[in-house]
Formats: sequence, structure tokens, C-alpha cells
Amino acid sequence: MITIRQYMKFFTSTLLLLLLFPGVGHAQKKFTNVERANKLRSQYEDTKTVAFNSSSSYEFKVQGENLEVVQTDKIDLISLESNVRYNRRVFYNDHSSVKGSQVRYTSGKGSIRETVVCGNYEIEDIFYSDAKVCSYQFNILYEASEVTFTSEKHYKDPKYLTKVFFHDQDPAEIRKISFIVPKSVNVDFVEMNFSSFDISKKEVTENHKTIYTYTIKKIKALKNESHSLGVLHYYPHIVIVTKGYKHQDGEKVVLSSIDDLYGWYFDLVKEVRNDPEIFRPQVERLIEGAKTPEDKIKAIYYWVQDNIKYIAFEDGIAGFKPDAAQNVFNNRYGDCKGMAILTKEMLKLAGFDARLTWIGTNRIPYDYDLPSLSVDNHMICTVFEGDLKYILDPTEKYIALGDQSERIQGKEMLIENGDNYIRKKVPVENSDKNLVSRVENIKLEDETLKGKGELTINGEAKKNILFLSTNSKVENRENLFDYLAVSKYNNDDMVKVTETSQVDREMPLTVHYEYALNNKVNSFEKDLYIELDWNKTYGNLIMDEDREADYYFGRKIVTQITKKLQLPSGYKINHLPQNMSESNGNYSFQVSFRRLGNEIVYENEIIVANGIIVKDEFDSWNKCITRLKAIYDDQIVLTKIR
Amino acid sequence: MNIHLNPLAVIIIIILGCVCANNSYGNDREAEIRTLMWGGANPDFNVTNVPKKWANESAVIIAQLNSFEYKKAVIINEVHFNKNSHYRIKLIDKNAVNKYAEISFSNGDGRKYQVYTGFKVIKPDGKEIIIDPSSAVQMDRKENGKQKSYKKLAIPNLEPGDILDYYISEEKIIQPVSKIYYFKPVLFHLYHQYPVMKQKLQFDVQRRCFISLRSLNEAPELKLEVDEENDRQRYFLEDTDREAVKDLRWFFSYRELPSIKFRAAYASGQALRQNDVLLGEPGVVKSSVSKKELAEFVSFLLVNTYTESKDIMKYVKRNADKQASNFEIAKMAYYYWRNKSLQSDEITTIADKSQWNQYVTSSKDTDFQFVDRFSGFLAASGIPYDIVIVIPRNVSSLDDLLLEHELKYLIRVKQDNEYLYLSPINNFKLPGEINTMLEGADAYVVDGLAKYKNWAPERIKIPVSREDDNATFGLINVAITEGFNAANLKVQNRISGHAKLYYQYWLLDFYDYEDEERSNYEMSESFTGTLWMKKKLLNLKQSYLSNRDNSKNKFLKSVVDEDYDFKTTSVSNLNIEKTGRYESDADMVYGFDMSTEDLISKVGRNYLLDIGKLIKEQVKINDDEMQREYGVYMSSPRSFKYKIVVDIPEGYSVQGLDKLNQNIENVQGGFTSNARIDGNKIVIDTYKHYNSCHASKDEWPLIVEFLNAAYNFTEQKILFKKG
Repeated sequence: MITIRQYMKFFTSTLLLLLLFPGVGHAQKKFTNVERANKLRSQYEDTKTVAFNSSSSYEFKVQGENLEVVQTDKIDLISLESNVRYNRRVFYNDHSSVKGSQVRYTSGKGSIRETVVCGNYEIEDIFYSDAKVCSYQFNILYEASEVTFTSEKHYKDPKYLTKVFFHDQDPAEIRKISFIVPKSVNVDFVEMNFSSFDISKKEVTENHKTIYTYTIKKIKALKNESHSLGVLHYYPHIVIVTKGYKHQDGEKVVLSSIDDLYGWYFDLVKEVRNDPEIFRPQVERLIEGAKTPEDKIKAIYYWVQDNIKYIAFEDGIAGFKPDAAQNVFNNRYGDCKGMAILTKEMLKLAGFDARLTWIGTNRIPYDYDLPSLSVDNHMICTVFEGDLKYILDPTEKYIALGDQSERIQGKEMLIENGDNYIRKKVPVENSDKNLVSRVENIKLEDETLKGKGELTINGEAKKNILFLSTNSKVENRENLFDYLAVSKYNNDDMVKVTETSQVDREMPLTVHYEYALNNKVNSFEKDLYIELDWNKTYGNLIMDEDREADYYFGRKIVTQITKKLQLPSGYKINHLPQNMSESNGNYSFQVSFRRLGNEIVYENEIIVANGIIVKDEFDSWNKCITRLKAIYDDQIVLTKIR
Repeated sequence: MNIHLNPLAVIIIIILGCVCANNSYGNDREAEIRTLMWGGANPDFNVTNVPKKWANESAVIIAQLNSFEYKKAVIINEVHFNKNSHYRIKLIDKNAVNKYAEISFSNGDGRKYQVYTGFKVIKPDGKEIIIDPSSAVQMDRKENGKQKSYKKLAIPNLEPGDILDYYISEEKIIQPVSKIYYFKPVLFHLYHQYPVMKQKLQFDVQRRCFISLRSLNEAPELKLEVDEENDRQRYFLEDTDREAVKDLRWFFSYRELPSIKFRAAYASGQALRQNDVLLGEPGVVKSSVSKKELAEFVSFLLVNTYTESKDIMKYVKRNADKQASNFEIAKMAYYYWRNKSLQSDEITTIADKSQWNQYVTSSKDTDFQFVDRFSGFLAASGIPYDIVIVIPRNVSSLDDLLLEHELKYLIRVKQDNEYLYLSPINNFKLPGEINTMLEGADAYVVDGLAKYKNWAPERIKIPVSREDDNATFGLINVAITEGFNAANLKVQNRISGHAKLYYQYWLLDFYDYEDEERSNYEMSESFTGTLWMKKKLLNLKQSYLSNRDNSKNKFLKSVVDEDYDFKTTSVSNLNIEKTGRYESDADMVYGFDMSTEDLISKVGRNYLLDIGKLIKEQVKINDDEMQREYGVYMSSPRSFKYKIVVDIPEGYSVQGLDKLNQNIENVQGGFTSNARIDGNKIVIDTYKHYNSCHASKDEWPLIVEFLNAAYNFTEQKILFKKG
């Protein structure tokens, strides 16, 4: 039996403990789950936080005559380390808004202080847009803490809700995406890149609503990798096509077909009030001396390329509706839509049938079967001249008429045709169009390698180099051409560019040069070890095992190198590196060293026909690169015979 | 007739009146500034042609005006600061057009910070196009309820050959919280990235304003114009025909390029009587600081800094030998006080700094608190010492001293004719070590034991360390794997002086030196503070320690990747042998293993080893750096010594060692290397040293000479020949 005295003693000591350890004794246990953290740590290396449950729901709601979508995200996180500074971002714009967010311990006990920063942010290549972000920052002090982040976002117009990804900034144990769709709403969910992932789908209908739930387990964090065509190409996602809905007073179409999409685009274009008289004198000046229709098109196309800077405003509807042509002309800047409409209007003044053309660049793997705003991201201009159709992309600088940039080749265009439209693909150019070739004649003087060379650059690389060189300061321009001649040299070497071709987008770019290099030859007793190819093209391009994306070179690759080394008198060839001949459908390596008369001829040709190494090719590619690197590391050995 | 005014209506009328007046003022002011800038009063801003000699430049600044205006309101506690920046630039190439096609500027924040701008483009035919300022877009950001924003303007119709003429005028009203208000100092280079035809710099002040002003490095002196009627003074400088200047390796621009140093301040009479600061007389330009002023200023700082040294006194009294020398006592005190600040270092190691910042900073001395605390201790102990007053080498020469914040302070303990310098305490600093930016600088010293009124600053030069005081010694044992696929390296580094700070910072944490500190000092077992805080910290410590090896290896990998010019496949086994935190063991010593596949390559039946790369990445001087117009300023003299020992694979002979023998020595430094066979090993010794932290431009070729030799060494290979 407990006496009153004992009871009082117990009560006092408990009170004291409580006073001394205010919320300490079990504070941590209230919101940590060590067992879960230990289990996840073994699965996710080098990871600070894991979402053990992540769900996003999109509820379609008919409000009066409008259809809105409410997105609710709930992410249960666990920290695998202590002292995690966590930053969660929720993006919004003029067509959507963030209505609220909350961070708390998952157990509901204890509180977390967050810092919220909302507003515009800078986006590369876009001068100003309505894109905004709310950034929620908070500290997770202890490892194994379980924290829940919730946020709500409203889309005022469902056509701007275009796609949803499963992958997110944290790896997730379970990731659910659900759509709650009333019977009155007609929406399609188009599944993209599902085949390589185990995604389950459930459909439940109750109370005139259908709930579609997609679930995926154990997914890695989203990675943005360099040299990639972008996440749309390999991460699973759902494209949301809201076709239309019924409301109390009738029905409304959102985007039910490509006709609707074109109709909306075309209505926006019709609203643009162009005043071509402003630039009529300029057009007249440009075409004054032109003899053929093609000359006239070139004159206008090249003038826009050269004189209109790319400065993009994507503020609200300006993301879809071009600025008036005269504004672009007067400002001398514009985005793709502005440049396309100016080109079109100038060509119309010159008597051509020029039309605006919508297109998705190669970052978007869709075509116009998908009636969604996510299907395109670019605008160009198509000219109908007799039987020919000229495709003009004036955002490209130093591209010739008839050539197409890699980013639009093979992509489907939606060409303006009055109330109708034309769907047509941009032709795919042959990889030879991108040929980069180097020819050098080399001789040895003592241990100095003296060479004369010619570098010829075509296609995409030429376009980029011309842009770089014409937009650099004079001194940097010189350095650029020296670098193109010899990529690595010392201050006691001689590198001299003797001639470069004129800036001409219709001709190859050529660089003639001479060099005398002191550190490319090593002499060992009677032997001379000679390094002929110091560029070692792609010699280190081993694909990482954990790379998610296909490797994209940015262009189709064809490089050819021919170097002829004059054999010095009194020397014989002791050793030549091995030859290599590998073809794997999409790519090939042809490397050879041979004696031809009094010369050693080194030839190296590398082709990646479509400019992409897909993941399935990584193993075989890496084997080739290992062989190639061994050849590059190897050297020519000459031995003195007298 | 009685008129009854509704009080609410009165308030509304007053508010509306203010708003209207404010808007009207804003518009008037905008027009006023526009007239001032573009009204044609300054003919330099009407020029359109640029000299032919600059035809190949990217752009030429035709005219530039930077004016700064400082005012004190008559009755209310407000100071006004206006800044006008006006540029007229000929854009010659596309690079310049791209650079100026998009301009960002502050948006101000209402009545107390107004920004007025004007932008116009002048075409080659003389046509002027004024850009509508409302076309600027606003970038907003809201952080915890506070709105911040800036504006961006895309300049339309801009083409090579155009002139861009624009101004940005900022007007701020500031409410000072003290009786002395210092405006932000201006340090203005007369050289820019583009050549300048004409530039004007002006400072407009009330006559009662305190002005500090000095022209540096042969910059022209500013002229004075007095406006008696408006009680204003204008200091101005007109400068013409300046070439462009490019970025330069190892250069302290403020030591050689013509520049202007300026600061305005307001102070009440009472504040002046109570504070000895470097302000001079109101309305009279102060262009130098006398020794007397400096002494008074430092004594004022000492009087007004509050630290106590009883704790140090008590420790020294209890532990110092009676025969201990001045230096021994000073060092004992120094190490003791360094230990006292360690708890905060443990916290910054294990916990997020932003959360614990307040706790951490409160336990650390500021630089001047250190001087005050040690002055108190040394004075109370009767140990003779000086207070050293110095300007960092990269900031200014002592002769150009003008402003308080340029100064740094050291303690110099005296013993017979010798001195021991004490720098403000940090975790790794040893007694006697001086910050690299202070070494070799001219300085003043005042006798710490003398009465303030008797202080007579004496000019000295801070000693400079020698190259071997700041030495890196690396022993690298290299074993080639059996199949010649990789090289395994065992590295041991011994680093001294200034060279070790970088490695201490990255490779050591509190737990590397906890034991040595505990063996020297009584330290509490764990954290101080409330139980709640203590519990939190102990938990964080446990968490940190469980992941420590992994995180330290990541730091080691970053350090190694930074040091070497080849790719490593693995880095492991970091072993800290000595922390280098005590004079008795002043070198930091550590070892680690690494392996690489990058150094060895097969040529026929033989193998090439890129042996030169083992002396770490070397400075490469590019073509365009060979000619130099300005002096060379480096951090400190320093040296690098490496011994590379390579096991010769069985069945192979070695060729090519002869090229590894180099010998360049001159007054600025050198690079020597020696390679030999010793049994079945290749042994290479290299030594590179920079003798000085400063060289004239004429001495630059001497530096290039040994830098080239060292770089050339890194390109050398040796051959393992079969048979």
C-alpha cells in the first residue's frame, strides 16, 4: 500500500523531472522512427531524406460555368541524417495559385518553423515570365524525424494543367497520383513512359465521381542530367487532356481535339494587330537586288536572324500569343513567336505565302495527336513557294535557308492554314551535314612537332561557333580560333591561325593554322614516342552506370581526322597503335594508323548517326570507348636506325 | 458661421494631400533629374564619335558621371543620400550589345528610397530614341511578409554602332540611430573594362559635413567648388582617355590602379566631443590621418571596448612557471583562450550553423575584443607589448590610410629585442603567425604599457615569413598494379605555416584535436547551457559521429581532386597524424591512399607513366599573360617539396629520367628536380619555391621562368621498357 508520504515523494520527484526536462525525455521519440530510417538508409545511399509516402490528388470541380482543378500534395518525409536543411518548392503562375501549405511532424506532436519565400524567379533564356515559386525552407534537426508537408494549388483553367510526374525531388517508397473526376467532366489521362516502370492503376466510381489512382513503389529522386533530351523522354508521367465538361447551363469544350487546340492558337493570332507598313521600307530595301524568290526569302530570313535578339516575355497569355510584328521590328528583339510573326509579315510584304507554324522541339516527345498545351513549345514560319515549303526558324542564328536545326528535325509542325491547319514533319537531315573534319600535315624537327592544318566545320557545330565568335570580344574571338586549331598548348609553343573563312552561313567554316608544339614527342634512347591526336575525341566519354537518361550529343556526330606525319630520315617505324573498326548500327568508330610511302597516316572517323546513345547501348558503347582510350593513350614509336 | 470639421475627414484630407503631394513631388523630381542628366548642360554627353584607336574595342565609354550627394535635414533626424550614375556608351560589337540589351536596377521601396531612371538609344544617324521606362518589368519576392523587388528593362532597337545613354538615380532618406552617421565609403577605380573618353566623379556635400577624400596611385586630385548661397561644397574630378583594363592573375588592383577613396559623415558636436574618430573638421577635406589622430582613435576604441582578462590571469598565475619568459606567458595565455572558444567549434561541427549562430558568435571575441582582452592581460601582468595598427596589403598602403574600417590590429609582445606577434584567435592560429595580407605591410605600433596620452606611433614593417616557413612536403609512394591498369599511391603530407590553413580547414574537425585539448586543459565533458539544449547537442553529436568517416572521406576526395590534375578512382584511409595546432608540433601531418587509372598507358609492349603529374597541378601561364603591365601580388612566400618513389615493375627497365632533371633558380624563386634510380625504385625530388609575396612587373619573367619549368615537368613521362 502506498502511503501519502510515498505518494507525495513520487509526485514531487515526477514534477521535478517534468520541470527539469520540459519535453526533453521523449521529445525526440515523438516524431522519430529509427526503425524506418535504418531500413531506408540501406536502400537509398547518399540520401538525406526519403518520402515514405507521397501523394498528389487532382480534383476536378465544376464551379458555376467554370472548371477548376485543386491539386493537393501530401508528402511524408523521413530524414536519414541529422541537421537537414530542407527546401520544398511549389511552382505557380498566372493560371494557378498556391492556396496554402503546412509543415508539421507526422505524429502531429511538436512544431517546425518554416521560412516561406514566394515570387518571381529567373529562368534561363527567358527575360520575364509569370512563372513564380513558393519556397518552403525548414530544418529537420534529428535523424529519423518524420515530417509531413502539405500544399494546395488551384488551377483556374484546366487546359494549363498538362502533365504530372511520379518522380520528385526525394526518392519515394510509395508514390500515388489520383484524379477525382465528376461524371460531368470529360478528361483523358495519357500514360507516358510507363513500360519500364511497375505502375498500378485503380479506378473506383462512387457518388458520380470516378477516382483514378496510379501507384508506383520505390522510385529514385528526379535527376536532371546533362546531355539529355529531358525528363519527358524517360520518366513516367501522365498527360492530362481535359476535353470538356457540362455545367448547369450547358457544355464547354476545353481541348477535345487538335482542332480545338489549333482553334485557340489561331484565335490568339487573329487578335494580333500587325502594321506591316512600319517595316515596308526595310523589306523593300532587303529585296531590292534579289533576283530569285529564294534570294528574297534569304534576304528577309537572314536579316531577322542577324538583327532580332532573342529576348522572351512569357507573361500570362504572352506565353502563347505573339507580339505584333511591328513591335518586334521596332524593338529589334522578340521571342520565337515574335520572330516568327515578323518573318511571316515581312515575307507577306515581299509577296510570299508565309504562315505561322507551331512545333515542339526535340525535348518534347509528343506529336499533334495529343490536344494539349504541352505538345509544343516553339513557333517558326513556313513559306509556301510553288511546290516547295521553306521552313524558317529565325531564332537560330547563322543557319542557312534549307537547313534545319537539330532540335526541330523530325518533329511535327502545325502549320497555319486559315481556319484549318496542316500537319507535316520537318525533314531529318543526314548526319553528313554535321561533318567536322580536320586534315594536318606534320613533320618532326628535333623533338618539335610542326604542323599545318585545316579544320572544316559544317552544320550545327558551325552554327554555334559562328554565333560564339561573332558575339565575343575581339580578344576572346582570337582565343576561340586558336583553341579550335590546337586545344592544348603551352606558352613556349607556337600556334597561329593563318586564315579563317568569312562568316557565311551557307558555306562551311574553315580554319587554316600552323603550329610548333614541344611537348608532344618524348625521346627514350633511340626511340621517339609521338602523340598525334591530343584532342582524344570522346576518349573519356564513359557512360555512368547510374545514368537515367539517354546520352544526347546535341547534334548528329560525324568527325573525321586525317593526320599525315612525315617520317624523319634515319628513323624507322617501331610501333603503331592498333586500328579499330567498330560499327553498332547507330554509331561507329574507324581508327587506323598506316604507312603510306614516307608518311604515317592516322585516320579517325567517329559517327553517331542520330546523335544519341540510348541506355541499352551504354554497355557496348563503354567497351568501344575503353578500346578507343587505349588507342589514344598509345603512341607512335619511331626508332633511330642511323 | 460655425464650421464643424469631422476629425476623420481631416485625417483623410491630410493623407490624400500627402499622397498627392508625394506623387507630384515624384513627377517633378523625375523631370528635374531628367533635365539634369539629359538637358545638355554637360557637353560630354553630346559626343557621338569615338577615337579611331579604340575601333577594335567591344565598347567605348564616351562619357561617365558618378555623383554622390549627401545632406542632413535641418530639424528632423534624417540624412539624405543621392547617387547618380550616368553613362554614354558606344556599343561597337555584338558582345557589347548583348551585355547592355538587358539592364537590371533597384526598384526602390517607396518614399524613403526612390529610383529614377532614363534610357535612350542614339542611332548612328543621330536619331534619339527615348525608351519608355514603364516597359521595365518588376521581379517581386516576398519573404516572411517583406516585399523585395527589382526591375529589368530590355533595351529595344539596340544594334552595333549605337550609343546607349542611360542614368540611374537613387535617392535615399536614412534615419540614423546614432549621433554620428557614416555614409557608405566610395572606392572608385578610374579604370574600367572598356576605355573611357571622359569621366566625371563628384561629391556634393553640405559645408558642415565631414569629408574624407584621397586620390590614390596617381589619380588626379579632386577640385573644390563652393556654393556659398546654398551652403554646399562640390568636390569633382574630370578624367580623360583611360585605356581598358583586363582581369589579371595575382593582382591587388587598389595598390596600382588610379582610384579615389571618399567618405562623408555627419556628427553632432556632442558626439564629436565624446568620440575620437577619424573625421577631422567639418567642411574641411581630410585626406590623411596623422599619427596623433591614429593614437587617439585606437585609445578611444580600447576605452570603449569591454572585455575582462581575469580568467586568463587566473589560469596563468596557477600554471606559469615563476621563471617563465614574457613569450612563454603570452603563448600560455593565447592557447588557453583558444581552448575556451572550442565549444562553439564543436557546435558548428555537428549542428546547422544558422540555428546555433547566436549561441556560437556570443562566445567568440571579435578582432578588437581580442586586442583589448590581451592588452588588459599583458598590462596587468606587466609584460611589455605593442599594439600594432596595420592596413592589409590588398586594401591600401599605410600612407593612404583614411578610414577606420581599413585598419587591422595585432598584439606584439616584447622580450629583450625580440617580438612575438599575436593575431586574433582562431582555431588553427599559432602565436607568432600573422595573416598573409598583413605580412610585409607597413604598420604603426604604440606602446601598450605607456599612458594613452603619451602614445607616439612608431612606423614599422610587419615581418614576412620565408618560403620554407610555408612549406608543403609530400612523400608519394607509387606502386603500379600487376596488369598495369592502375597506380596505387600512398601519400604523406607535412604542411607548415600559411600553407596548412586550407588543409586544416577541410580535413580536420573538432574531434581530431579534442584529445590534445583535453590533455592540456580542463574541459567540461559535454555541452553547457540548458538541459534541453545539452540533450539536443548530444544527440546531434552522436548522429555526426556515426557518419563522420564517410563525410571526412568526401572532403578528402574534394581536396585531392582540387590538388591533382588527374582523375582518381578511389581515395581512402585518411590518417591525421598531427594537427599542427601547437608550436611544439607546428606542422600538420596527414596521410591517405588513392588510386588512379589515368597515369599509366600502354605503348606497344611498354608502358608510359605520367610521372610529372604527381607533383600536383601547376600554374599554367597562358600566351596572353606573358607581357605584364603591373606588379605581382601574392599571398605569401611558399615552397613545395615532393619526394616521389616509384616501384619499378619486375622485368622492366626505366627510360626518360633525364628530362626530369631541371634547375631554374632566380631571385624570385625556382624549380629544381632530380630523378635517379635507387635499387628497384625511381626516386624523384622536386622543389618549387616563391621567394616573395610581391614582385615588380619587370620581375614577372623571372616568375614565369620557374612556373614554366614546373608546368613543363608535369608534362613529362617515363617509359617502363619490357626486358
